[in-house]
Amino acid sequence: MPEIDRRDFLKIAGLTAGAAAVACKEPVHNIFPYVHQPEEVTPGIATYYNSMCRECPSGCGIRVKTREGRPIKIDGNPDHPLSQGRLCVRGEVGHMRTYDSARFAGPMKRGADKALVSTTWDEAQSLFVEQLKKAAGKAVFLGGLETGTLDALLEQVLPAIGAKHRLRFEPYAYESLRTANQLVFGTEAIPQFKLGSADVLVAFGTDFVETWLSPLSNQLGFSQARSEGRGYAVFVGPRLGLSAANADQWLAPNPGTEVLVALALASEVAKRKPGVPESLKALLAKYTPSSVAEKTGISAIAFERIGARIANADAPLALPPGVEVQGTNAARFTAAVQILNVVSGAIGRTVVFGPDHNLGKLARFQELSELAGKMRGGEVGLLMVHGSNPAYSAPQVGLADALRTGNVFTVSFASAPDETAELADLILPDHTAFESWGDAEPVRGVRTLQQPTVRPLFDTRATADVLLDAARALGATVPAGSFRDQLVAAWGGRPSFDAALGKGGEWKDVAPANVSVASGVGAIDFEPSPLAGNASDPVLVVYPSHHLYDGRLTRVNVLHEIPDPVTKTMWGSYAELHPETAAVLDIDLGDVITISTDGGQVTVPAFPHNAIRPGVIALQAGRGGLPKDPNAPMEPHSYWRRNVVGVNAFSLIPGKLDAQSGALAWLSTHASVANTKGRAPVIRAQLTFDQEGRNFGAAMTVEEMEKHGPALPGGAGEAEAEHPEHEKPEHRAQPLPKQGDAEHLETKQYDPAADAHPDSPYRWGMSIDQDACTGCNACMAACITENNIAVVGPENIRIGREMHWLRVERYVEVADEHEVDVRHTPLACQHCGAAPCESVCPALATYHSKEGLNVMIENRCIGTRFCSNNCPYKARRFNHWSYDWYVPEPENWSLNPDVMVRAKGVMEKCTFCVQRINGARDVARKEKRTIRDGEVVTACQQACPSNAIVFGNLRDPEAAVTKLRVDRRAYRVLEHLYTRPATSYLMNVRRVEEA
Amino acid sequence: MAAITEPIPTHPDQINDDILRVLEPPTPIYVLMVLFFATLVGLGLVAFLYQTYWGLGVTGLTHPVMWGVYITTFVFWVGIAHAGTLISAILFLFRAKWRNAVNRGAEAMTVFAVLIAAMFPLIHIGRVYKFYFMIPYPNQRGVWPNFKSPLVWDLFAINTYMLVSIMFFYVGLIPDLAAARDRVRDWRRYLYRALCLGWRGSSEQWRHWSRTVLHLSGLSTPLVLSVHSVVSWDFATSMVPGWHTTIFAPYFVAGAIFSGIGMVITVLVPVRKAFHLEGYLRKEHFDNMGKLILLTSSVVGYSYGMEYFMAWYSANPYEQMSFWWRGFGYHWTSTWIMISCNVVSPLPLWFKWCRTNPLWLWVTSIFINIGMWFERYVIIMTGLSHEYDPAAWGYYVPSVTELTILAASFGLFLTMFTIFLRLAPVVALQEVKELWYEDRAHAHGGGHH
Repeated sequence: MPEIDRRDFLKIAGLTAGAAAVACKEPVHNIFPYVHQPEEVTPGIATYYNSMCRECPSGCGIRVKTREGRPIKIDGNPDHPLSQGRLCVRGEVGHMRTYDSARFAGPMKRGADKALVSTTWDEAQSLFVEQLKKAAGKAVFLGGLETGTLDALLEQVLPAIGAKHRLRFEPYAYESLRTANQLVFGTEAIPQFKLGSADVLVAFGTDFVETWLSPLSNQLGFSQARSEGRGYAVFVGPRLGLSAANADQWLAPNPGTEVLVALALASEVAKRKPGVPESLKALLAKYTPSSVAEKTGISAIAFERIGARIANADAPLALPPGVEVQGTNAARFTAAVQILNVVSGAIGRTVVFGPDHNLGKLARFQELSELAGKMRGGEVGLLMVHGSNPAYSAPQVGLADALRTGNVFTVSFASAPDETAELADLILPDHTAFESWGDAEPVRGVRTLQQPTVRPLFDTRATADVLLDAARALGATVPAGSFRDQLVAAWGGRPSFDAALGKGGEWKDVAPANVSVASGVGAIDFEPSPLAGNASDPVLVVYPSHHLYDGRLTRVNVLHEIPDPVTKTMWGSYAELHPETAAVLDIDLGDVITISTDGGQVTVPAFPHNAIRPGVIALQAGRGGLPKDPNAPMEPHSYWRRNVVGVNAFSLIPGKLDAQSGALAWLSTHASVANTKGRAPVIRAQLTFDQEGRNFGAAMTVEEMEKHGPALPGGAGEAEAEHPEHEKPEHRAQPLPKQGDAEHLETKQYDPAADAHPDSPYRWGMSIDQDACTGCNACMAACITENNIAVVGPENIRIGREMHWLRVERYVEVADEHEVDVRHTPLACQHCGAAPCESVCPALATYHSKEGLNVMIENRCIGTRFCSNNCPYKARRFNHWSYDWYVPEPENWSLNPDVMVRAKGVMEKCTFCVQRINGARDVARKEKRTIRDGEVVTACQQACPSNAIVFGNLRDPEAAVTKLRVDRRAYRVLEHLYTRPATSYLMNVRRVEEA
Repeated sequence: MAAITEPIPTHPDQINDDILRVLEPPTPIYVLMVLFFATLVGLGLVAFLYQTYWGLGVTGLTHPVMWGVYITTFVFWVGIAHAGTLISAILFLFRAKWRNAVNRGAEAMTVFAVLIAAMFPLIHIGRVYKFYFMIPYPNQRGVWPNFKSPLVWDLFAINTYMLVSIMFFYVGLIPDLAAARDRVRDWRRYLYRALCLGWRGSSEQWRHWSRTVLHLSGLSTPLVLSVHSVVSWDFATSMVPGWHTTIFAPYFVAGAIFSGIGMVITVLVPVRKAFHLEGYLRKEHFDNMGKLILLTSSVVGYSYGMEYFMAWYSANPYEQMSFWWRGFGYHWTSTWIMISCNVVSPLPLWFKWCRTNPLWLWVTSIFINIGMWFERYVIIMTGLSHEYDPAAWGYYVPSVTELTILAASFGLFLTMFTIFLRLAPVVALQEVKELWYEDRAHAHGGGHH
């Protein structure tokens, strides 16, 4: 044996100790106090600002929670008429775009080797002015939708700097709706569609929950109209999307013939309803159900039934087509839907003109095409791009090619890299929505203010100020002062501006306007949309992304990781097709296929599923944006940040237009599909949509519900007599059989309020209304931002390591012409009274708190993971890695300081937002009282646009949650396991068509 | 006694010569073997450090399958550890003479297996550097482990078993260490001198020694049944479909003995060949072990059948679905490997020719080892991957890290066993001699049994 001398020994000992120390390292985070504490900021106390969401054009009011000067949580502004205190999945994570680590740190220009290099604002500004001079009036400003002071200012400033031409471009621009209203009512206005008062709703491919018009207020209205089993909805379209899944009937006519469905329904209604103008009657007589049945593939009896339903309804509503069914007949199709609204009497009742949506100024797609043509023709010298990304979302027009020719000097005002900015010659980054001032009037009468909630993170400048400076440098006369001064002036000076700022804006009722049917309606020639390509190929359906909208949110990792509400896939694009179609084409799940049309070709993995009509192939638009971060570190399991996620489905749409409205025809072609025989992982949260009869999502029919009478105690499915007295709320005070006694074990009756310490005034519980739940994922986004839930990336998700504390399970029972029964079960920790996880933890890291919460002490956890195994709800999540190590600055600025960031090797789960409970307790203790009902609002509850989630104290007999627990629809998931869950669910209501 | 075909020792001194031959200087092949096994251990160590540094993300463990190869391997080695105590304690108390030749190897195997098994819960946990949270120790926070948790019971059961089996093994070794001390002349003399605790072979010492062995046997006997019962309760007390059954304790104990005997055969057949111990590890020993295999294999096979029967008979949809997936789901191969190795492969042992053929037995024992590892894998993996919530179903594929550590556990076992072979007699000298004298007495007295 070799001699070990002292030095060797020390070396070896040091190495061993070093290795051990490295292995046991846990991330250290320091907290430093302010040296100079800013005004308005108290460390540990949140400050809230009312502002406006800019993640889509609907302009919902938001309330931004900031801690120590950083926005960390976005909620709806409760005073705002559009959001009413709720927010959608996109709005919930809007601030993540501000914290994007790949944002432009300052202005950039093309260097000598055509690469983008950093520059100073002075230099950039003078370059901009120089180029404006050079363009000599041939400048064009291509922006997104602006409806407030910025819009007015641009109208003034742009001509002054020689940009006579201005386009407000949005990919979802409602051109056909405007033209159809012109055809039918003689006005281009986009009216209010009042889903809240509609008792029968017919949607023609309208994704009203996802992106259409004003999705949040749509959803608020939709859930309101359907409370307690009321309401009825029919969806007409090729896909059982999220909106369709919430309907009660799904008609999937042959793609392109949806217009005939609208007409046949209108004809049925006209037959039954008095007061239909003769001209319309004559027109509709041509479209009897039997005459269109064959063309559409929908049975005549379905038209008759739905027609009768609409005719008998008090307030029916037909929603104009969404983009997924927008063909070359888009305007006429929309006109047909509006005719249905006319004959059913919806106009003035559920379709209200007057408080119109301010989308009327949006450019038609055709105008963008023309602009690209002009650019190629050398008629444009300088292009300014602000708030839109046409190189990505309108590849048909060839804008990118036009820019690459080099004839056009392109200035991008994007704050983060996108496809258009990549082609720009000069980048003058704007602040993000959370750093800038602004206002908008998305709906007439609803003026909303937007205020900065964080100091600009990077060296960016407000675009309005850049343009004002440029105009001044060019010697033009423009209003003095900054954009903010204009804004204050537009709101009537300081006092009224400040008042509006406090409230979040200003809203007043706008009187409804009367419209009458135009004379030429009877002469409209309705034709199904023709489809190009080989008729034996599947029809290409491209639909907007619920999470990424038109792709503008592609940099928000959280949204990639929240499962798609329909397919439950994450991170990427998947070609959706019916299993029957897949069998015909010889495609299996996960096969890599190429889809080609006249527009282009993409290669994606296939995802066959049942929620789509046979004979079509669907792709989601909005995915496949820029590479996430080409400079991301190559640490294990973070290299996903480098990858392009998905494919751009816009590129498949051939550039055909609807001649009348100038809209892009999304549904216009068959697509040839070839199986490359390659395989790719289908990253999905749920392997099956069949719940095997396990009642995770339970349902009852309207008749069953009505049999019970209102709010009958004892839960669902059983008659009153079968229920013991003590289950009734008025008998709650009476003792139950002692737990463990024979009687107790036999009846399994238990009092959920008993599962807390006898001295505690609280036993927290939750109620979730599955019928109200649309499955929109807003709760998940809220939970993620509130509780610092890690993004783990596709490599981890692929093997099932998502960290979401709350998931929305989707189960499809029936989805056909007769009934749609899709059940959405938001499932988080149930905070069981007899929690299986608690008894198996050796370290006592999870236990039952005095207030009945199932508490998880992450710092005590050693990671045996037995709790997760033993949880029948599978609500627990394990930190396989130190996920916070992989979050670059400043993305981690969005973390909520009230919730710890978990280390590797520990378990975590839903806490019922215990930090909010404790916050409310502090307030209550100061006031020497107990916490009131409704004082603690969990993040998921706060976000829910359907008001499906109620949280409260089960020991308070008057609390809403206590009453809902004994609602006639109430049940508990897996209750027979006797876990005594604190979360109860209200059953789905099946609005079954009469036989 | 059964017919003896191998050459039997003619004199007790020859026993010493034959068996203590192992203490002669090692051959190059032996050294290479040890190096190879030690390399596996080294790889495992690297894998473990890698895992500790990055986290359990380097394993294939995922939601909902939070237990995988590590717990499988833990249960496997605990099971292996059962044969030693069964042979040394229970068969000792039952005066089954044939055990005398195999008990030393089995005991050594037990100790090594239980040492390895005890490492796996630590390898498995998310924060190994906080493992002491499981141990009840006085602390200023006043926090104790959760005594309701089967994992804490497990901690106690495994540690008790480890201590008792080490003690048993060591006490049994004392007289042989003295024999070795008297034989070797190199540095090892000092080692043996220290370890044999001044053994002189006086009748007083023999008397004390045999009483100690008897008492330790009494102490160990309940452990054979209890330890693996407690391990089985890690699963049976949970509410996972496929785990939550009352059959688990006897099922696991039978499985443990089954796998333990399998491993005894796996290691002793090559040893017998390499050290020419045919006269000591005789065919009737293998015959008897073959019978034990048949017994335990039948119990295990019955348990498999009973699990499926209960799944059907209970009319419990979760249980039924779980077993359907077990037989025909993603990991159906594992299930069928388990059944064919554990139930089908021992069937030829009903024929005596197969039982007394060491090669046949050895091949069967390899199948048993594979089958019993897969049994635990199947129970853990298929149980967890299809639980109550269909939306949370998933599956599990072991990662390279996990498989490296699995291989390292075999490497460690074999390293320890091969080194042991050269350090101490693999056949208990005194027990064989006792048998030799007894046989002679019977032969002289015309006795017959």
